[in-house]
Amino acid sequence: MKRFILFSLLFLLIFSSYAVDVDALIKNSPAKDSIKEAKAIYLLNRTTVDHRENAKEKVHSHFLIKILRTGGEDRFGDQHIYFDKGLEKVNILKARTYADGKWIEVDRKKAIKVLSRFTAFSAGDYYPNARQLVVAFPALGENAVIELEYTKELLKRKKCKEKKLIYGEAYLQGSTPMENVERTYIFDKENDLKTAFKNDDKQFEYTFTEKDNGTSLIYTFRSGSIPMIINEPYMESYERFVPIFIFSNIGSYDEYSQYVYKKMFARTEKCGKTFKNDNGLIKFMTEDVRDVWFSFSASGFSPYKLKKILKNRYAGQVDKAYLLYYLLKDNGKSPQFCFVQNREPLFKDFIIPSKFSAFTCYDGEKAYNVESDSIDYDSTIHDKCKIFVIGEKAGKWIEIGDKIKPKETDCTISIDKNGDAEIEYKIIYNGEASTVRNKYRDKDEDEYEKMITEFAKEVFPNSKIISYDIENIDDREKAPVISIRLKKERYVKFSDNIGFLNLRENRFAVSKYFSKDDRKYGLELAPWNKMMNLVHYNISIDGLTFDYIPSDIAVKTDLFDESIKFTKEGNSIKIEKMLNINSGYMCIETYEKEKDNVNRKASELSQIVIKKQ
Amino acid sequence: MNMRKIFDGIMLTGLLLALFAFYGCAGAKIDIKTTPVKKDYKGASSVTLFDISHTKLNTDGSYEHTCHKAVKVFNVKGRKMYSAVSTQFCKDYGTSEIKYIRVYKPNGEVVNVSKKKIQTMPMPALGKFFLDKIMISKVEIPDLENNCIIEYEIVDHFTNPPMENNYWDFLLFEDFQPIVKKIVSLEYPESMNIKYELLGEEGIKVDKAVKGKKKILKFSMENIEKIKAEPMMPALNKVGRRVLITSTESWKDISKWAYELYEPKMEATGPVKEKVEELTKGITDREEKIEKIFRFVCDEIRYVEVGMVGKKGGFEPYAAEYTLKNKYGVCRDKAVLMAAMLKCIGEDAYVVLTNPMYKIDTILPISLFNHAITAIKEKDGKYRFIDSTTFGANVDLPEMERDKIALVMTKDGESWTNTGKKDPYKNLMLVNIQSNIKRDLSSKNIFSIEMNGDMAMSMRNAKKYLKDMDISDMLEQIVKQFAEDAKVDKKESKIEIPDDFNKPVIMRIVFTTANVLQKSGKYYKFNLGDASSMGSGGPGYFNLEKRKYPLKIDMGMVAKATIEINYPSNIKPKSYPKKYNFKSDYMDLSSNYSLKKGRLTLTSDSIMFPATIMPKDYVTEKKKYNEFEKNTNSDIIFIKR
Repeated sequence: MKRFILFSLLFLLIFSSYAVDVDALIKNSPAKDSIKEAKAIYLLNRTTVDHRENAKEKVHSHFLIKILRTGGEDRFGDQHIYFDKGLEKVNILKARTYADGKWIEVDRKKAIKVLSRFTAFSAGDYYPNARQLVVAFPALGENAVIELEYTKELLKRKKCKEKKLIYGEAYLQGSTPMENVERTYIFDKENDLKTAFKNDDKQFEYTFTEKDNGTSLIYTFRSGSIPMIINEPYMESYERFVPIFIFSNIGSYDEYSQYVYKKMFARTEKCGKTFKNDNGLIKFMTEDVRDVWFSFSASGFSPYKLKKILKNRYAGQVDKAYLLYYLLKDNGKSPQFCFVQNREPLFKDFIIPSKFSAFTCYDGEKAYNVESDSIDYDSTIHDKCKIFVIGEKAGKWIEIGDKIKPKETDCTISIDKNGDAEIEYKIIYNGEASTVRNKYRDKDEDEYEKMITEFAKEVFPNSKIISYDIENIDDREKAPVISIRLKKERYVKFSDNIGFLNLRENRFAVSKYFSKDDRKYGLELAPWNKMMNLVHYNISIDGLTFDYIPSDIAVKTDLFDESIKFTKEGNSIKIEKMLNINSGYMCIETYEKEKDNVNRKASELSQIVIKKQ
Repeated sequence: MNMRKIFDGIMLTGLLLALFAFYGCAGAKIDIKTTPVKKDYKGASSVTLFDISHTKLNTDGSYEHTCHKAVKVFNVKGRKMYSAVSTQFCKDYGTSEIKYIRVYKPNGEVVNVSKKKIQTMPMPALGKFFLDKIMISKVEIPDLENNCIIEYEIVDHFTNPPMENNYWDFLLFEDFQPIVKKIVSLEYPESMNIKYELLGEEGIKVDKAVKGKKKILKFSMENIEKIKAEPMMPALNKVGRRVLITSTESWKDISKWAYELYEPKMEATGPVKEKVEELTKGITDREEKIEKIFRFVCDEIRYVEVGMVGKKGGFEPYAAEYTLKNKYGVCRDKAVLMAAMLKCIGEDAYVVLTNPMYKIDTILPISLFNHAITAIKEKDGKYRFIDSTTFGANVDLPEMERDKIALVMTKDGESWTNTGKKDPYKNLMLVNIQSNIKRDLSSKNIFSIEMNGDMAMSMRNAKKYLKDMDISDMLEQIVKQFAEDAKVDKKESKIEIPDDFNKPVIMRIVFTTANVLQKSGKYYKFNLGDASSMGSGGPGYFNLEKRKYPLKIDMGMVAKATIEINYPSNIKPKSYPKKYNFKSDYMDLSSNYSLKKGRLTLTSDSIMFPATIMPKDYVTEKKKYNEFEKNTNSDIIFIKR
């Protein structure tokens, strides 16, 4: 009896230390009018992530979400928990909705489903265990509250002979407001683990504590209220301002290099496949070994044997790099494995491998891009970035400069006295080769005609195609070129002998990045926002005069460089438009300074006026 | 007799048989050297060498279906398209098995894909469909290179037909890649009355045979060219060569069958009645009551499918009370709840099957429906259709679902009907631009758009998913397309989305700019002139010189634009759009103007009608429109006095 009482007391003690008065949280929850913009709010958000080697329960999560506005039920009403069927198990402890003054339990048989994740499909036999558990909450609407509590447990441990890499970043603020937040991270006490709490400038109230209980380290973040982030177009990345708990037991990039090197060279192999030239090798890698994608580190840097990869003729990124390495070697190159980092992380003192954007090979001259859809003419990574070349003892950082060439457009327009025009339009796709190749390859004449017609009429609506040519779609060494000859009646429409020349490129592209007047956050452009365009117009007139030619105009900032120049030569005008958009960051102060200037310049841009003689 | 040798022989034979069974037929069936090559099919990424399927039908509607297919891939794109073989099935209805897969390599080698590589998994979540009974079996094809042939066989056992003792099939004989040979055969008991119809262009051959107490129908076609898609063409199911097959006697039978599935679920139990009472308390107007119920089912029952119910899951809805309790369901669940609730207020309500994707063929009774809505039978016997799945719509059926085939579920069964056309004026958009220009040519401008019907629906949907800040950013971006230096007055600018769905959604942007008149030398072009043309879709229709397929214009709408420019005395208008008129079966355009001292007012009306322009009429219509377009000028130009 005594033992029973003691046990009950102990149980209550443990329970009460975690217990949450859910009903009180709901009763005291904010009304929607007090929180503008949010579709929902977390009334409780508690998660414990246990990284300890012997921990069975890896994740314990408990949250309450109140729906504030229409749209919230769609976004939060179905909760997805991802897990690996072969390694993990999800236990749903609580799943219910509070609505109209009462609790409604989720029907566990009907409304909790285990489905595949999409990765299972694209990965073939690589990741068939990828699963998601979906909980669909009933009776949702404004002011309804969902409660979900679950754990994720390990079914079996993967035995690791070498040091297990532990790293991650926990972003502690997001696009949904939160109250009663507690995030706990538990680690085995090991000398190697380095942690930090970044962006701690207290934009809102919180505490962050570290506790050492002898065998474990426990980091806890607590906050009573965290405001939501309202996203803005092209806004700076969250990494710059959101409080982040960051951890890594990788001491240095050299240590990581050693780790990867060991994995990739766990066995030595020979490929024995040779090619006549580099082009043949690249063609094989991009066209004959298709991408079967899975998450970047899912294979754990344990590539399949070459024989299997060559037999399958499909591979994920690690296996593709592995195959590429041996092909390059067998074809006279000196390759090394490398990681690509197209955006430098802010916190360089922490080694977080998931910050790398790709894994491939470097041959001393170039880093390779052998993704199946990347059919660039030279298959190099030509964006400005850094690569980390793997070595047995140490790695090496190498900067790759910009090798992007601009997309070039040449347009010749001859306008007669009626305003009818003959147009020759040619585009050389230096930078966008992959996209164009994928679009235009393997079509017949009928399809080409339709595609070219569609394309031409975006630029010159209601024109008539006279002829066209599509070149270099399959020639990897040259940029694709599309040339079109058109006729357009009444290209210039005269009214009282005056007509305006409406050129599509006669607008400032840069303006769209400066359209928001009241930004809170700076501007940040990702590598895929980069652009280089060069457009040349040569416009000649017959039986007409140029009544007005605009002045040159230009705008230049760190991220943007755009200019339009007009040169009159007798009866013709040459227009050169140049646009460069770089990736990078512009702080809010610079944005404010540049915005009015850019917009003012853009609005000064005017049009060519033509007059009948 | 050497027993040892006999034993070894038996063992060896057994082993070979086991290997044979495991890997599939070991012998090569296709001589790759005799198959077509890429140059025979210009522009194709692959060619289907044969696509042979055979169905063995039983009188109860169950069947075994075998598909045997071989595809030759010519290039990267073809290999990508056929990089995996997969099949899907629903556990409640039967099974599907990939029997074997072989790859024939250009050098003659035959690679048998091990069955061990076939993964069978539940489907992932597809949007808001969480269906763990739907399984997918899939395998990535190894060792694929250009000019390989992939051959496979899939066998389906369909044990639970949706409509007992009935069979339906829809066979499309065309695809976006060429086909050398396609054969579809159906073996059925002679007691079943199987009917078929060939639709589309000619070319499908029909053969009939008798095999004991079974009949065999065989449809075949050879050398099928690939479909070359055109913009705004009708659905392939409507223009491709196709065969419809059915054993059902009439549309009424399908209507009755569906009624039997749905009717038990339509009971308005206590909670349903209570909800109706709560919603319609104090309301006497009939339309208001209908609107209230519609708004509840449309806006408060979210669109989610967490499972299939009953023996005919996927066809059978959940009970009205169940959907009400959970506040989620898919189209059939919402349609049932809607009907049950409407009945509570005395309406003669029904559930209806439709297909909003395209207008299905009606020549034979086949259920090609994929959607369920509700209908009220009015006093004149006509049906009024209501779709409670379209968030943001008013009770009037949206344009997309108009002029589609509908089948009302009734006890005695009914034939198909049409959801009817919508008056374009229900999708009315009013665009108003008022610009007040000062002597220094700076200006204050009011740009407003009033949206009704389907136009308003888009805005309401956007509002559901976007934040107010996103919408505010959107307003800014709209204005800055025309005047980069514009400053939006955020207090006066707004998007009004009234709770009353019969009232329009209004977007109003008030902004100042120094550049509403873009200066080019001595001329000033009014920058907002192009904004008034929002909504007219003419130019996009006639990009192609000629067409093989009809041009289908789905949306009907009316857009009326008014530009009022109040200008100072130091400038005067030099040029502006004069009167014009364009009339056709699909579009009416007209414009007018008035010029008074200090004020130029331009008005334009455009009415678009849903229409289908046949290929033979396309060139004429194109010419007419181009002639009109080249003689109109939308530039509004001022000069200084």
